[in-house]
Amino acid sequence: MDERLRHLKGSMKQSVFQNLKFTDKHKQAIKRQIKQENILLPALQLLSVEKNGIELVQKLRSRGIQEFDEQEGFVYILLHQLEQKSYVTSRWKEDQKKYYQLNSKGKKVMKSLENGSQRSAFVLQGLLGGGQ
Amino acid sequence: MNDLLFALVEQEEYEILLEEAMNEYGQSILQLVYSYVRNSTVSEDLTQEIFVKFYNSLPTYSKQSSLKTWLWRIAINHCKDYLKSWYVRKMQFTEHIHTIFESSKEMIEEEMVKKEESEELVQTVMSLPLKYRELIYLHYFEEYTIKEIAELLSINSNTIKTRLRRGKELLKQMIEEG
Repeated sequence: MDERLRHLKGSMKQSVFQNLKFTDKHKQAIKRQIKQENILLPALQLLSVEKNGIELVQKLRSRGIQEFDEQEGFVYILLHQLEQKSYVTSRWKEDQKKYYQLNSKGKKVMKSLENGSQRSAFVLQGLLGGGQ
Repeated sequence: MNDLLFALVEQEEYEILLEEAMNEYGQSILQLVYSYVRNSTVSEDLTQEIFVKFYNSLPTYSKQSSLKTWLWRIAINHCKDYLKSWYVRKMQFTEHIHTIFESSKEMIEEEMVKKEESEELVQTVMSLPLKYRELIYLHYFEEYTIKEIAELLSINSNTIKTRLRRGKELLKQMIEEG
């Protein structure tokens, strides 16, 4: 058996692994995923306390996240999507601004991201417009 | 301010490490994952998740093991968690193992026999129960020593030797029975 198993490597490369290729496409997807999580988790954490869009951008910036600096409108896309997925609830206040706060479903998602549960993280893929 | 600067430098280093790890080990991890889950689409998804997990784990990397060992451990645990999950236990995702060896008319009989034997070996290894399959794969494909496997899986060396022997017996038996 040992003798035959010595050929296992070559045999597998010529068969089951022949069409299995780690490509740039995979690398890009991994980087995109990391970038999304880098924004998503802090955003969810910050929304534990009710905030409007501008406040969220400011707080994210103070955490070193500059993705929204050039295009602040992007934060409303994120907030809208979080609302669509019912991770946050929103209401209009007297100052004519919309305020968002994390709800119980959002808290669960936040916890699983904090625990590094990638499976739930993958459910979130596409939330920021990336994904596949 | 210094703290912030330090954090930024660290983050940049992590990104470089991730890039290097993907270039160096991406293909090996994809194959390793396949040896566990036996499905190419699932392998691609899990491999992506593994590298994200690896990146997120870099702040806690203690340098007691090599970075490669660290990555392999994350990968193996991730595969096992996946196989244990409700989702997988309820449904069988194992795809039919295609053994696509090139065959041609010019092949002489001796080569044909060799090809068939190779196909049979791969098919049988891939159909072994997980605890034997992972050892056969790590030892014969990845060429890890018993000691290295023990470190990787946190299992006693003697247990690994016994299991490897049992695995080979089983493999022999399965091949003979065809």
